Amino acid sequence: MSAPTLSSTMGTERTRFSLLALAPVVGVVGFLGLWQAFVTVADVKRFVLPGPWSIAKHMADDPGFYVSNARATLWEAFLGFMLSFVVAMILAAIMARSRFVERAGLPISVLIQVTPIIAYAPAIVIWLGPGLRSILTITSLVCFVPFLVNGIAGLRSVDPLLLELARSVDTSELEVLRRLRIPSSFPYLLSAAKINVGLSLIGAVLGEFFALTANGLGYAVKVAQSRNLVDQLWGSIFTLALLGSAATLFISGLERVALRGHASQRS
Amino acid sequence: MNGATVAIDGVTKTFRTRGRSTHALTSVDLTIGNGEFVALLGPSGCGKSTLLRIIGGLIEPDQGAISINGAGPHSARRAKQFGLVPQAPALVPWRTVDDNISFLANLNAKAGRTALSADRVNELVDAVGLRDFRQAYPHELSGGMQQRVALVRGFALGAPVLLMDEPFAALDEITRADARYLLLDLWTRTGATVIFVTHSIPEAVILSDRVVVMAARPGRVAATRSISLPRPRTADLEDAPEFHEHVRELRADLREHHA
Repeated sequence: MSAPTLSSTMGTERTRFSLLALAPVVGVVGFLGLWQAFVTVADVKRFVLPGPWSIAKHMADDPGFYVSNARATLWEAFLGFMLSFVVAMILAAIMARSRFVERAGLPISVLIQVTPIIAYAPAIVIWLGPGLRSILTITSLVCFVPFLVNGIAGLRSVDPLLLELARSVDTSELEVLRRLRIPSSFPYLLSAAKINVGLSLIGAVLGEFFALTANGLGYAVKVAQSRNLVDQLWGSIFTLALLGSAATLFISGLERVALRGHASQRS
Repeated sequence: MNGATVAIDGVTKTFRTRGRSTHALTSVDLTIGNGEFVALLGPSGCGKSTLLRIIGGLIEPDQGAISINGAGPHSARRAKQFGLVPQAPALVPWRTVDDNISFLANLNAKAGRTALSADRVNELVDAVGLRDFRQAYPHELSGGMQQRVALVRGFALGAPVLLMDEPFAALDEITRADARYLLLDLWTRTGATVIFVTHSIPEAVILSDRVVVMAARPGRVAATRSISLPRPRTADLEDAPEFHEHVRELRADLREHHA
């Protein structure tokens, strides 16, 4: 008697699980469907707000345009992201060691965070000149604070008993950093990376707005706005949304693989 | 014997925080023989953990001297003479049991000292029943098993002096009783000098050659008692009249000096 009950419970569990896995897809498809329905029913003009279907058709007509611009923007976002990561981690290692340096550095990082990047981006372009250098600087500034703050917290998150154990066998600071502090910071850095995937795309698009480049999705958006190319505007937005989603999924996958051993820390 | 002689001579330590000073230890004298198992027994605040850390060169005494086979705590620490077993297992969460055991030993090896051989480590792992869990991660183990890993990690260093800071404090009473005999087994196999901090009287009696009773305010040595129970110690001994006599004696010592 008990065996069928058990298997039917498990069956329900499985159904619930696959429904849960499908939920995000249902959300996105539902959203696009509502949008399409609104545009069709309310008869919104195409040059005011196109429906997702016509945007998709437009993108399919000229995929090369979006692929090459996406490649440029993705490359800038990636370089800015990595540059920011490296610089922030070096500073985090120094700031995690010294409260004084941390307290001295934090106001600067707060200033970077609270001052709208859109306001000082033109100043960066005037200083560094048009082109990739300015775009990368803008992108890495946008990503900097999440990496720095999470880096410091992560490097400090080592179990104090483990630090004492390391000290009891006279372990060097460098070994402690390499074997304990850096691995302990992984969950924190991955959280920061998830935030920064989106921010790096914002930085790259913003950089293209101001840095007078002639490619990238930001540039495509700017041109579309000035010439009233609504299809190109929405095509670029969709491409950016796809890029951001793909990158976020990638980081989430990385998190799942990298944090297998950290399970106890998360619970 | 693979232990070391530890001599503590007039050690005094005062902690100062915001104008208030706590006399953690006042002129503590104690000599621990090569391969001896000594328990530091006392209420919280008697300075027993502080004394343990001063011996290990992790805290500086205000006055007094420590010698580990003639060397000061700092040079002994640099020469990898200590194994530490902390209050909680403190395992590296992203490493397997095997990696956790060799973790500190590997750091040691880098600095030129060889830990126990792989065969000896295998022997210790088997002795505490971890053979089937060597590839498991800490979060997959019970608290008792995690603490067994921490014990083996301490002994696997091959250090002559093991410093244990209430390693069983977080375990339930039943698990704790088993852990004591596993610890004794590891100690017998390695011959290290063990200094074991505890606030459990029966634990101190069943484990030790000698129990150092400490008292608080100021932290000091109140009494030293040799434990006459034969070795190897087994759970049967906990029913022996001698065992209960020692427990009674130590309880009286603690009560007498409890402020």
